[in-house]
Amino acid sequence: MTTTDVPPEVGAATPPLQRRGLSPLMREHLRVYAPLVLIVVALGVVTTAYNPAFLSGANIGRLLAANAVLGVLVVGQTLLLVGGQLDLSVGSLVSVAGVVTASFVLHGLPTVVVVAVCLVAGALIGLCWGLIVAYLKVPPFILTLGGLAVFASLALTLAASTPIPMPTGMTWVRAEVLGVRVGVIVWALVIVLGALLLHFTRFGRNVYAVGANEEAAFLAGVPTARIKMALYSVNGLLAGLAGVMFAGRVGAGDPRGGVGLELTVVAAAVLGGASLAGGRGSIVGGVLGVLVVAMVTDSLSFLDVPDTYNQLVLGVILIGAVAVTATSEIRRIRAARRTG
Amino acid sequence: MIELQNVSRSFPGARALTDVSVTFRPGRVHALVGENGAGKSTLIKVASGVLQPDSGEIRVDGRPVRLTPRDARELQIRVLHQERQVALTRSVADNVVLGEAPRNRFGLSGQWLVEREARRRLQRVGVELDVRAPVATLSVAQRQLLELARAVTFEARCLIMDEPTASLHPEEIEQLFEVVRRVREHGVGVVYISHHLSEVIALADDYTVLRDGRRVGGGLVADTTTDGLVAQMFGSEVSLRREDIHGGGTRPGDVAARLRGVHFGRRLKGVDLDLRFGETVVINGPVGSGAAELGRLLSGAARPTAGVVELMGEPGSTRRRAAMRGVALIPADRKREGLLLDRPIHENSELAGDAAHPMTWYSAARAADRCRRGGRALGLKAADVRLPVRGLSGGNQQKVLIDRWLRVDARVLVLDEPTVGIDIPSKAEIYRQLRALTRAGAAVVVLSTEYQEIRCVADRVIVMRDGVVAGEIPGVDATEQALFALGARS
Repeated sequence: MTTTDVPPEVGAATPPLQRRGLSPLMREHLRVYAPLVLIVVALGVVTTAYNPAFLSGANIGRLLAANAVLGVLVVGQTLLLVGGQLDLSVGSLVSVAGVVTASFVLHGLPTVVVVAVCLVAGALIGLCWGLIVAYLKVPPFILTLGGLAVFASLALTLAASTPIPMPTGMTWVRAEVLGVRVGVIVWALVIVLGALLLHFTRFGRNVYAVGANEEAAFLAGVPTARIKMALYSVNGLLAGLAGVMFAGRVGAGDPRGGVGLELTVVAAAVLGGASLAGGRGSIVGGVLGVLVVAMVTDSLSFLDVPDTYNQLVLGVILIGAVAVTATSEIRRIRAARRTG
Repeated sequence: MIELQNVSRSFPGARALTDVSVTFRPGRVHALVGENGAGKSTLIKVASGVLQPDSGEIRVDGRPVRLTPRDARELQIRVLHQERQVALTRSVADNVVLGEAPRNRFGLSGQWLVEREARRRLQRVGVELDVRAPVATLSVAQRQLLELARAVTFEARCLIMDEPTASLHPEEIEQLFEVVRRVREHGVGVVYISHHLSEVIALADDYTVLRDGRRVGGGLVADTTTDGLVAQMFGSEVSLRREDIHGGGTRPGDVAARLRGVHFGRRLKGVDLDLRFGETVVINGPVGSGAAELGRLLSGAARPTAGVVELMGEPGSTRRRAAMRGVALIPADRKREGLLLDRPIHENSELAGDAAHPMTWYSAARAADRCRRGGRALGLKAADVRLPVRGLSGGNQQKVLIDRWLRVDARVLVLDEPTVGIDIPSKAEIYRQLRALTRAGAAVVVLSTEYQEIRCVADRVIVMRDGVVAGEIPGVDATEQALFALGARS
């Protein structure tokens, strides 16, 4: 009575403990990725057939640059979701960081200082969330929903409800290196660092453990409180970074710039295979989730579909993707039980 | 009367039942024995309508039927499941009457009615519980008694009990037996599944032995013995005797853990205890005696409310600190407190190592290789260490948990009911493993209520009663009577 798909052979020799080929976990990841890649490719083909300008280098560059902010946030959110956590306050944090960036730039502070302040402040706010979740045991959903409201209000207050223009500030985000926007390069760096942290360090294994079974992780000696604080801090830092990038891209500090962004972030992460129950997900999946969101929004406009349909299509894709994963998951667990 | 005739059932890739015929008669206790994976679970699922047989027939009172879970319920076939099925946040009363809340003549149900009915049912099985308490505050054993109260009705045609004694103390088991006998006298047919063959001999009238999905033996319990049952289950003899497993002790070394005047709320009232390297100490005591709490304190998972707990000379360790210094904890509830069920086997076996060194690089391929080597040494049976640990049998899951701590060279091992729900050959392997660790100089604490287990592994037995140490017996002298006398004396 060993595993799901191997018959229990009577009197068989000791099983090999490892079969050839891809690991089952990798297969599970690929099962999540495949439909996303399919959606991206299909949309690309259809839209290009309709309007060849879609697949041009300029448009792809624009597409990536427009979604770098979302992409950076999804890396942080994926880390959190894998650890069984959630941060809904990122939308407001982006607004606040954008407003702070613009007003600091107008006050003539150097770019390095402004970026550093936003990153550190973001990380500190994240650390606060982590402390409250770990020690006061406030459910992350409620806590960060409250945080979302608090910082939305703060952004509006700081900016007196109007965007603060800064035409000459933070232009590096829009600059190009070897034909690629710096914003996109930053996103790529965040992806690489996030993937290293989650998939190639034992810290990452601890994150999966906390998300999969916190009690078991604690009893095995995992510093669960510290892991949570680290996750929220990293996510807060990335939210600060995203705020700077957002202000730089649009050339202003918009106090409403991040409104609703948190839901798109969670949607993209969940599309990429992260589970709100924790213990599941990957950085690559999150990146694919962002690409799907980006492609859908962009190709709909290329296909001359009114942009009022954007959310509808994204919603249907999200529900469909999660339903497919959930049913295959249930089937897998049933199969495991039967032979058990 | 429920008859299964020539029932077969297979799953993709596995044949779970082959041509099994068995009859459950009213007013008799029918024991179903066999090692894990022999087909017992499948058989009771077929008998309770959860699974449909591929071929063969089910007859109830002579009439062939096609059972669904709903039909089974209407035919008064009740199942007391091994997996606890309780709503944690609801009260005891709500759980006892779950799904069949009493209604008054207006068809309405009220808290008062529910509580009265719950009290009546609890009384019937002789269990004392506060009906208003949330289930989350109950111990595992109390939850099991609650489920018994839910499942037992004298109107039942057939009551199927899957490992009902898995986490009960001798006195509670006796209480359970009383209930079963009373139910039997009312003409209910009881199907009783247990790994404890002594229970089968003590309680059952008929028995059926399954091996690899086939019926390999059966008849009247009066005509057989424990050894006879074991021989039928495995085809050869597997021993669970102290002489074959214990292998003698060594001279105990330094103190690994020292407890002085330890209180823990009202559960422990001034406990002194020394645990040394190179000995296996069994802590024996029923639910509420403080045995489980001692396990938590010894591993740093809980802090005493008064007194001192010193682990390897250091007072006041947190769980993390203790784990880093090599204090292993293997909880009784493997699935809830031990395993990451949906993560690969190799991640489960490296969890303690990962926790100790988070700031190092990780390679899944190398982790799987290490796990394969460790798994071979422990006799782990799995097709691939990269599969989720959920699919393993209880015995193999427990081996993974032991491997987790061997990997970080744990020197102090605290095991809470280490062989609950594990088949006999795996039990023997785990006992041998614990003895080998002890001889190699580890300090082992086993919290156990299973007499056979205590006999096999103990150098010393400490008996707990009402939060204090009731007494201590050397392992060799720990007979069932001696333990019971010490624990029950007041």
